[in-house]
Amino acid sequence: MRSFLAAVIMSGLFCWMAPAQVSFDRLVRAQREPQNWLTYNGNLGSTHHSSLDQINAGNVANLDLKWVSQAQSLEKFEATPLVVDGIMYVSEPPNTVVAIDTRTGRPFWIYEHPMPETTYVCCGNINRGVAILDNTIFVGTLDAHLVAIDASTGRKKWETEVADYTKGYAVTVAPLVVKDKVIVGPAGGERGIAGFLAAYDAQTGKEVWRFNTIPHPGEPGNDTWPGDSWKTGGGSVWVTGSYDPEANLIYWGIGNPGPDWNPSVRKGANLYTDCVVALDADSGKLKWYYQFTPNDEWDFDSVQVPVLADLSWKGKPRKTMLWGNRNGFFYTLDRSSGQFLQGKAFVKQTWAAGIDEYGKPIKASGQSPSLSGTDVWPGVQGGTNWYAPSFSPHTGLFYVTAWEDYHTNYFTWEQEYEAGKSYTGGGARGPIPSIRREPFIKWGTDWGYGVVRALNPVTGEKVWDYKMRDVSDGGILTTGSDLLFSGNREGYFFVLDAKTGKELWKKYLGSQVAAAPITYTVDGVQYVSVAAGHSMFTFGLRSAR
Amino acid sequence: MTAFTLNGREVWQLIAYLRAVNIAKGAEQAKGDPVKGEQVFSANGCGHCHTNGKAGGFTGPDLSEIGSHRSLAELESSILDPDADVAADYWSLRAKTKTGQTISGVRLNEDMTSFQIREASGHLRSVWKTDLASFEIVQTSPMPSFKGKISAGDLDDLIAYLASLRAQTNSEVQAK
Repeated sequence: MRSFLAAVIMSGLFCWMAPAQVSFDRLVRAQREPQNWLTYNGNLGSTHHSSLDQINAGNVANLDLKWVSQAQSLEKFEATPLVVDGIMYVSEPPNTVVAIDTRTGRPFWIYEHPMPETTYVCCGNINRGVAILDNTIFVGTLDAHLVAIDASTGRKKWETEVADYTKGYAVTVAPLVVKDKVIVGPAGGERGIAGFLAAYDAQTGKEVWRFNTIPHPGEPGNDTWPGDSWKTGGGSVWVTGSYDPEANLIYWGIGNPGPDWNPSVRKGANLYTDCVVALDADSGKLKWYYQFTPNDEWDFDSVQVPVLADLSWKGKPRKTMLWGNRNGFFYTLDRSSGQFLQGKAFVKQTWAAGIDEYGKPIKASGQSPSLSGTDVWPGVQGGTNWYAPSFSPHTGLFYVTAWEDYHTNYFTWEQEYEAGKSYTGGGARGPIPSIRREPFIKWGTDWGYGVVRALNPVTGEKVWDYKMRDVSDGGILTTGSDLLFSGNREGYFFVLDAKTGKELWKKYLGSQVAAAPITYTVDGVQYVSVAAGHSMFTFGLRSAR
Repeated sequence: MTAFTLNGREVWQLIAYLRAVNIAKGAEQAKGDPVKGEQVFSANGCGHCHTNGKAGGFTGPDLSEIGSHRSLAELESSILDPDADVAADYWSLRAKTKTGQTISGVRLNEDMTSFQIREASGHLRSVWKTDLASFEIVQTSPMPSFKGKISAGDLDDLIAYLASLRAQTNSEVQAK
């Protein structure tokens, strides 16, 4: 009996041996292992830049399709995958997580989250990605849960409720792992939610801290909301933030105030909507905030990716944060203090007469949404949005996908709040679809068009443009060989020279690119993957297997 | 009875439900003591490879709701003769590469060109068939048989414990 038990125990110990662990230390040093893509934006500073350089201007013409993995859902694929030691982890709509073999595109396992019959999301059954710590994958769900999944088997380890989905809360953001915590917050800015960011213990799923993005009574900033308007104030969270390990600060962009287009019921600055907040990673305490659009009237969510860049600023090294905002301005902030350093419009905008020396916008007259409608630049989808920009330390440039010369007609109405229902207080009209592409492009470019735009992060000046016919929701990847990869709503996946914007290669994928490409190596060979339509496409050089 | 317009997944969900109703009735007839059975489960290291609830290993099947899916007879058979009915999800690949390397693991996926496996260490790995000198799909279980290795009483207790691991019904969930 003793020998049998010993055998079982030995067998058991063998079973317990875990695969290679993705420690938090590895996440902090993600840039040192470019063979992997360990976080939503490739590194905790969210530069969406890789030092890989096998694919370069000299051989990019040989870029070839290696495999396509089609999602089971026909919903829009908006996720950016992770790649860890040859395994791709990605979330497909609505909340399905798949571990994919990067050599073949075939799945190792699929985790399907059981969904309620009804969800209350505004803009499609979207999920933007997953996070990893040790051997656990984390994903948020449309019924506002956070789920931990074993990376080897695809089995659920734990599940915790983030918020009540029947009241319009959903989790669409890719989680951010910081130390031993997993951080997410709810979408629902068009559903009258009161948003927050919350950190959960990675081992147990228990909530560790919560920061209310709409301050509750007694909390600083609640006085920027009249009466009970804070209860439906929005402040959603739907794009992943960044982390600076030296400062131990989390930076996160906060969504629009609610109702979107009727600010008469929420007179005031409406903190912390349209802000970037800097939070202590251990406690969730606010260290500083900067508000891009106080008392927003146009749905200018400031959920964009906070890009952390160490720059030479007026001859001295400075830790900065670069931000192409939905409101049409490009900002450089000091990320230690939140100090405004520069802000300049990067697309045509008409809602602000400028930005004062403290970084506060000066609202232009006659630009508020009205009963009859008001034309405003940028339009409702903004100068840019959720899709990842990139900063290349090689070129020193910031790259953003922008909607140029784009406007819509904003209108307002009176509206009573009903739990779980749309609560926008108005709307926006224009021929360009907001969310999904249509098969035909028949509007004139006078309604707007897309560009990939390179900006000088110190001056805010444009360096070059790559112009498209349609607008674009494609994120941007830059590499050590000074290539820029992106895609667009027209269905093209393309490569540009990051120094000049010259097109080097493109391929028609047949459907919208609404996520950012990533790059990694398998068996020492570089590949690039990007979601388009409802599929994941992977490219490599023709000589690769 | 009219024909139902259910998709394939819904048909299987309905079958699983009907099966669970019958199995749940059978579970109440278990002879053993489920509390003692949990101790037997623990003492024999079953949790190293099987999950029951939130704890346990991932190599073997998840037993958290096994009582909803397996009859008493099926549970006994799985303990005494694990090779009798091994689900395809747990079949293994055993292979030798052309360079002489031995490869083995749970076969997770296969097509005309490749295998995707999970090695005993938990690592996910793929292999090209053209790189293999030989391979076989092993349809037996890596779990040892407990026949003659636990007492009849412990066996009854263990079966009673496993039968008690059931999915919550809607009324049970609502009661919480």
